[in-house]
Formats: sequence, structure tokens, C-alpha cells
Amino acid sequence: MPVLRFSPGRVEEVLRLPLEEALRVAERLKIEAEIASDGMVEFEVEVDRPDMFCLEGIARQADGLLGRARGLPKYELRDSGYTVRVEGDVAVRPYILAAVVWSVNVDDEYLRELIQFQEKLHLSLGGDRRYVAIGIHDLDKLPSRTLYYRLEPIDVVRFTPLGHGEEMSLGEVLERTEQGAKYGRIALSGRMHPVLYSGDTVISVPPVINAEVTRVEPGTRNIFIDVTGTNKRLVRDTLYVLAAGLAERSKEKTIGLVKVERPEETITEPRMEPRGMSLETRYASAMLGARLTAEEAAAHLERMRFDARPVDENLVAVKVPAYRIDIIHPVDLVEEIMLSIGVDNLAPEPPRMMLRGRLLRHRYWEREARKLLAGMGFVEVVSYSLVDCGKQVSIGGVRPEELVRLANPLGPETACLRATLIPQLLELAAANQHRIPLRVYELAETLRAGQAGVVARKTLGILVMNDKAGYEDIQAVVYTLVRLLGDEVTEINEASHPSLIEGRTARLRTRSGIKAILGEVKPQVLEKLGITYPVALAEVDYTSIAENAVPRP
Amino acid sequence: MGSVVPVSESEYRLLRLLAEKGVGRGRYSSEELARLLGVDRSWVEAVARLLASKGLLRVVEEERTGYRLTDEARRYLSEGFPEERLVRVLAEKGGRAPLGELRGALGEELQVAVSNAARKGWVRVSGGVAELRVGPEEARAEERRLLEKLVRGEELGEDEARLLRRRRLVERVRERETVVEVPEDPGRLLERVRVEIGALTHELLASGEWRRYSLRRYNVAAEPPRLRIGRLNFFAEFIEHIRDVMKEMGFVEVEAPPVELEFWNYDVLFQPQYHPARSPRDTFYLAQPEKGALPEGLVERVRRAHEEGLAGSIGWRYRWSPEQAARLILRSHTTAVSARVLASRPTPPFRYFTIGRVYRVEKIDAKHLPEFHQVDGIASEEGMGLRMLLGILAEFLERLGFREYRFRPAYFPFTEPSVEGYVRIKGQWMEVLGAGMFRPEMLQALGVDYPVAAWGMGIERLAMALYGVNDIRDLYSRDVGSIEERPVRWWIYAGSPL
Repeated sequence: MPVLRFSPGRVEEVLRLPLEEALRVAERLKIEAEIASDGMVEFEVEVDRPDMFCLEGIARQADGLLGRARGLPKYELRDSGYTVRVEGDVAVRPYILAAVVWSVNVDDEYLRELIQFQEKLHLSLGGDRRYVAIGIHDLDKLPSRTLYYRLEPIDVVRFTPLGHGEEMSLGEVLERTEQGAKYGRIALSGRMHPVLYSGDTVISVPPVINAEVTRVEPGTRNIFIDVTGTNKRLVRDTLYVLAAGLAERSKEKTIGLVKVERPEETITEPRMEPRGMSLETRYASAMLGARLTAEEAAAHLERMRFDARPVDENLVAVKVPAYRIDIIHPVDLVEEIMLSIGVDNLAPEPPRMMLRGRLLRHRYWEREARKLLAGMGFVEVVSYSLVDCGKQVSIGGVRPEELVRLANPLGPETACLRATLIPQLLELAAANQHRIPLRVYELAETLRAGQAGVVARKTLGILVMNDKAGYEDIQAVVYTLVRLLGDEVTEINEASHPSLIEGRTARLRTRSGIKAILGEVKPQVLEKLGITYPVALAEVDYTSIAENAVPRP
Repeated sequence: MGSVVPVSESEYRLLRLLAEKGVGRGRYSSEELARLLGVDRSWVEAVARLLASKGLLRVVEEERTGYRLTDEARRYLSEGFPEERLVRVLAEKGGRAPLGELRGALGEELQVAVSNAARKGWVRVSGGVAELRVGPEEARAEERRLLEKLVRGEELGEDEARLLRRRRLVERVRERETVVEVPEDPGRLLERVRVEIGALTHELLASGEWRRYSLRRYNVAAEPPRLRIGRLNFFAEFIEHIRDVMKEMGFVEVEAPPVELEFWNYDVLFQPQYHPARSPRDTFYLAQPEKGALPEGLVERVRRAHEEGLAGSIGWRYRWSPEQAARLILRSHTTAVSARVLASRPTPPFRYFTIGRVYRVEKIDAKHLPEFHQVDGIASEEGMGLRMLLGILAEFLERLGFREYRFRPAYFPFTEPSVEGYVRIKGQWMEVLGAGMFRPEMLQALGVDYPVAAWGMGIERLAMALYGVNDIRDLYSRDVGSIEERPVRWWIYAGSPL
């Protein structure tokens, strides 16, 4: 979740509230508010609300809640006189839109907030600039009102990147600058890369970096925004959120339209047109479990800065501001009503029905097995399901092709899901040699990859380590367990396992289909693990007890 | 005669030995006593002290002056005194010999030998010739007799000691001595005692021998030994407790393995494919196997929900990729299981829950693990809406023992409206659960046409808070001792206010 940092002074100034009250209002807008150890205010804004990634956006909502404003905020739109011409086919990053906002009047503090706003948009909507990237420029530094967006060979284009003292080729920018290293591959197409020109001056190479020439700094008055990306809607949404957020800071709240000429069409944005939506009050009442009239619903929505008009008893016509990109279904308006009412004012209502609860059938087998094992002196352990792949094979005897492997593990020790409990039990024994005799067990799900996909098995691992611990010691435990669970061993044969001694290893089956392997651990294996006591163990597969757990469609 | 005195087996043995060996009343040094009884001196002293503490014997530590043989004295005793050797040598030479001839046999000790032998009148020396005056058998040094007396442990008289000291044959030493006083006839003492034992045994009971003994009194406040026992794991038990609470509330348990299609974990839940969580930075992807099969019947509706919207939604308006949806991952939340349940279109009223492991790409530290447990519940019935969901959550938290809790608005991609539940534990508000009404886009894609409430809770953090565990890794401890010896917090399970 995006965490935004603001100075307490700015919070009070923009929200026009004493700090404590400001924090309380923020919480009602589902913002988690905290004062950090350095005194800064930290607002944790939910990802669906990029319109509140700037203080002015939060204030816009707070004004509604506090009754200072209602309905749609008004932004004046006029032609900026700026045009972006898209030349050729910029297939790697086809969409570009732009806007102008006047009288933003940047100072030190606001510059930091502006950069924060931009960064949080990049991370949340922009997929770390993959889908959308934003360039913010000092309007008055743009050399020309005509801009060009096209692919250019990276060795030919030269400019001074923002924050770097020297001119370099685009190729060098991609290679040598930090931003180049991080974002240089996103829009690179062979030796070509998108470039945005103002006249014949490079002002940006989206999504990597702007040019020094249009740097925004304290004293900058008017702002030019460009937004590029791979998803048309996200590019437009981002532009709306940004333009409205910046306009909130200016007195006139005037947004300048920029014409984008593409070979196939010409679009002028940001038109900031509100979207129409209807909300049925019956639906809203049912979703909340609270009876609402159309008038009440409309009043709540007006407070949340929508235009809302009751059409009849059951219907409210709503206008959604363009920057509220989270509102995609009437249910999102229901949430707005909830925020206006306040969750604290919605009394919990106990469910009316009496229904019969039930645990899965094998849960009861597990519970009884656990009690019996505890009665036999065994301690239950709970361990991680992410394990070392190699040990599953070498100690556990799992075939490598059966392993469920991660593509992006944290490290080699957690790169596979366990297919057997034996390696972990033996490692546990190695770590507990000061507690002889050791008797432990674990119940867990094990997973193996097979022809028909991944197969899960209900598994019980049991281990005995003692001055003397042999086949009979583990056999007695398994037989006792099976017998006392009302089952019986129907078949038992000698078996092989890479970690168990030949001739002291068996596989068995019970009447109810439970399978187990049990035996004495080879001294070679014990020695390799640094274990100096004999160990006997068993792995019981009780999948046959489990019921098909998820109802299938 | 006084009352019966309880004694141990060894105390009894000492008294019996005294009686058997006929050691009567009197004072004995421990050394003497040990010799008389034929036992070890240190044993006599230790047991006599115990009997003394019971008033049966008396033990006194005394200090006395004694004499210890010098090295020279020991040598004289074994090799003979010089004057004795002189007599032997002279006898061999026929009773007479010039001194010069004797030097070879006696060496440097010749001078000492001659002067002592002359003083004792055994030898006369004149003109450089020594002549024997007594028979060899008569020539026994008086000092030898005295030294042998000392070795036997007998006392020396004043003059005797002086004689030996003058010849540097003894050194004076101060000796500590343990003196045991037997105040009355040991046979009488034996009648006054009864043997005490540590434990009854099968043999004692079966033979009736127990009558001869009394049982030793214990220090009943002494710390007993720690028992090694079998134990259910406290964290596993906490999870079982959550299961029981859910069952009590009318929820039916379901489960599914943690390997999941992205489809069920994200797409069905209306989380767009470009969502930041759907990347290897947050989600574990599988390398083997990589892909699974999408459920045919649902793919088209889920695609439409994302691309153009369903149920009055405008959707996310991007190109939905079935290839991405078919990738296998480790589920990031148990809501994936709930989604599978809903796909079976259960008929309301219903309540389902699942508890399982979930996985997120997190570095391991005291607060984070890449895997943890979640409980996820879904419910639908007549009148199900946010307030009823809050009612279920409140009931759940109350049954867990919380009386202070609150709900705050929140955001989840698949529920709207959404809330988070907080509980107060030891004065601290802690976020414990997320909840909401499933989004209509999701429900409609699954063919569900009634409202469904959903909620999920991480179990580890709650277990840590309630069990006072500061490091999440301790819930998965490999230290069997710590599992075995952790006191159970049974009151957590009582449902009474925590």
C-alpha cells in the first residue's frame, strides 16, 4: 500500500484543520494515518485511490465530509495551444496524452510532494513505469508549443538528462544513468527508443528520464504533463488523476487541453468529462444492510463529491468525476455511501440463521492420531513447507521430476514444496541430539508433480531417536496407531528407500487404504547429517481417509 | 531409654559392625576404628558423623602433636642403620678390619657408623683398626625399635622422641584426628534404631520386609526432576481452536492444495493482470510444473469481466491473457479456495471456511515468513449485507475472546465495500482481518446471483499476540525442548474475555 509522507504543517495548511482532526478525517477516508518517528505525517492510502496520492486530493474529499463543499469539483478547461504529434508507429509504447496546469506555483515542499505523487502513480497504476510513465515539465521552459513523439535511434539522439551535468547520447543514458539501468529496457526496440521533442529539443525519453532543460524547480509556476504508456485507459486515467490533483493547488483551477494528433485520429485531453452512473437504492440498502431513501443516498454521494440526483424512489442518477478511476460499478458508489455514513455508525447485525457447522472428516482422524501419538510420548512439530530440493531427492528419495519447484524462490533452502517429510525430520533429529530419547511427529500436506498435475497427499511423519532405536521401535508405534484408530494392517512387505537400511524397511497398507513406509535409517545417512544416535522413522500417507474437500462445479 | 531413632542402611551397618567386632564403650580414633572394623576410614568418619547428628555417637575433632619419619629414617629402616651395617661388615671380615678397608662398603656413612657403634659399645677403634665387641645378632639399634613403634601408630615418650629428633630421624607435625566416642554398648545402640529407606520396592512389599524399615522424610519443597512427555504442538492447537470456533458458528470446512492457477487466485477475484501483486516480486511462480488447465466453462466470462465488465461494470478495459491465467503459483491467499467453492454455486443459505497455508515473497525475519496460515470464510443468506458481515465478524472476534474490536473501511480488489477488523490486545490495536462483500463482477463471472460476504484472517500474528511469541519463526520451532516445555494458555480457548 502506498505510504505518503507530508510535513505536519502542510497537512494542517491544505486540509485547513488542526493536525489531530486532520488525521481523524483521513481515517474516515480509509487512510491509515500515523506520525512517524521523524515527525512527518504518514498517510497509507489504499491503492484504488490514486486521486488521494497528493494532499490536495485528500483535502478535496475531506471538504466534502466536513460539509465545506459538495458535488462535483469544478475545473475550468481551456485550450492550451499545445499540440503533440505522434509520428510513425511507436508500437512499443503507442499512447501519449498531455495536459497543462497553470499557477501551480512550485516551492521546495511542494516539489517533494509532486515527485512523491508521480512516484506513487508509477508504482501503483504504472506497473513501475511498464504500463504508464509520467513526465512533469516546467511549461515556461518548453521551447515550442508543438511537440513530437516518435521512435529514434539511440545512438543519434543527444541531450542532457535531468540531474546530470553533461550532454550524452540516448544510448549512454540507457547504459550509464541509474534510471537507464532500471527502466531502459521497457520501451527499447532494437536500437530504437521513443523520444518526446518540444520543437527540435528533447524534453523526455519515456519511460526513462526527462531532459534537464524543462526541469521543475522551486519558482516554477506552470506545469506541462506528459503521460505515455501501453494501455490507453490507464494513460488517460493517470492524466486525469494528475491534472485534477495539480489543478486543486491553483487558484483558478484551470486545466489546459492538449491536442494529440495521431495518424489515425486526433484527440484532445484531458476533457475531464464526468461519467454517468445509476444507483438503485434497493441495491445499496441490501449491500449495506441499512435502509436508504433515494434522497439520503444522493446526499451521501454529494458529500463524497459526486453529483447525485434522485430520479425516483429507487434510483439515483450519479455523475462520477473523471479522476475517480476506482468507480467502475454501482457497488463502488455503495462504498462511498458507507464512507459517508462511517463504518462505526453501521451497527453489526447478528446472522439470523442457525446452520450446522462441520469439519472435514479426516480432521477427526488427525485429532485422534495426534492424541494417540502424544500418549505414546511423541512431541508434535510444525515446520515449513518450502524446503531444499536437493535433500528431497538425496535424503527423501523423491524423483527430481516429481518435485514442485518454484521459479522465483527466496533461496535454495526454500525452492521446493516438500514431497516427503523425511529430510526435515532427520534434520530436526540432528538439531535435538541433546534430548535423547527424541520422539517427534508432524502432520502435513506433501505435494508431487505428476501426469495429471500436482497431487497433494496427507502425510504423517514419525521419528524415534534413542541410544537404541530400531525397526521394531517404529513398527510398534505404527501398528499401535493403526490398531487404536480402528484399522488394521492388511499387507506388509520388505521395501527399499535410499535412506533406510535394506532388510529393515517395509511398506504397509491398512484396510482403510492408509499406506506407510517405515524403517531404520542408514548409518551413512546419519553420519552425513552429524547424527550419532540410531534413528527409526515412518511416513504414513492417510490420503485415503480424506474426503474430496472442495465442492467441484 | 529414648524413642526409636531412624537411621539409614549405612548407619545401621556401622552400628552392627561395632557390635559384631566387639568394640565396646570408649574413645577411638577413626583410624583405629577403621582398622578394628576392617573398613575404610573415610566411610567410618562420614557415617559416624551422621550417627553423631542423631545423638547415637559423639565425634570430636582433636589436634595432637605427632612425628613423621624423615626420608633418612625410612632408608635406615629398609637398608639398616649405618652402625648395624658396620657390625655386619666387620663380622664378615672375621671381627677385625682396618678402617681403610671398610670405606669401600660403607662409603660416606663410615664416620657416622663408627662413632655410633663406638658410643653404643659395639665396636672399638684403635690404631686405625676396628674391632667387633658384640655378636651381630645383638647389634640392633634402639632407634630402629622406636621408629617401628611409630610406624605401628604407637605413641612415643618424651625421651624417645628426643633421641630420634637428635638424629634427624623424625620431624614434629601437628595432626588432626577424628575421635569417635562410643557412649554405650553398641548392642544397646542397635536396639534403639530402626532402618530408614528411600523408597518402597516391590521386593519389600512382596516379602513383608517393609516392616523392618521406615521411610525417610523428604524435603517436600525440593524441586522435582523435569518430566519428558509427549505434547501436541501449541501452534497446531491454536489452529484447531480456530477451526472449532468456525464450526461452532455454523461454517462447513473445505480445503484445497496450495498450488493454484493464477486464475483462481487472481483472475476470478477480479484482480487485473497488470496488478502489482501479480509479479515475481510478490507471488511465487512454479517452474515445475509451470501451467495448468483453465476451467473451460468459466474462462470466457472471466475474460469479459476483465475486458469489458459484467453485471453493470465497465471492467478493467485491457487485453486479458488466458496464458497468464493458466500459470501455476503458490496461492497468496485462501480466498482462492473460497473462489473455487463459489464456482460450484452452492445454494444459500451457506457458510464455508478453509484454513491453509498461503505464500508471499517476503524475506524471513522476526515478523515475516514466505509462508503462513490464513482462515477464510464465506457466507450467504437472506439479508446478507455489510452489517450482517460485521455481525459475523463481531461474533467471531467475541468467540475468540475479544471484547474490544472495531472496523475500518479498507480496500481489496475483490470485495466492495471492504473493511478491516482490529482488536485490542494489551492496550495495542492490531489489524487482524480483512472482509467485504464479493464484487458483482466476480460473482457474475462465476454465475452466482446472490450477495456473498467474505473475510480472511492471518493466523500467525494472532497466535503470536495471544501466546506472547515475539518472533514468528518460533511458531515453527525446531527446538523440541521449547515445544515440549511451553506452558499451554488454556484460557485462550475458553472464549472468555482475554
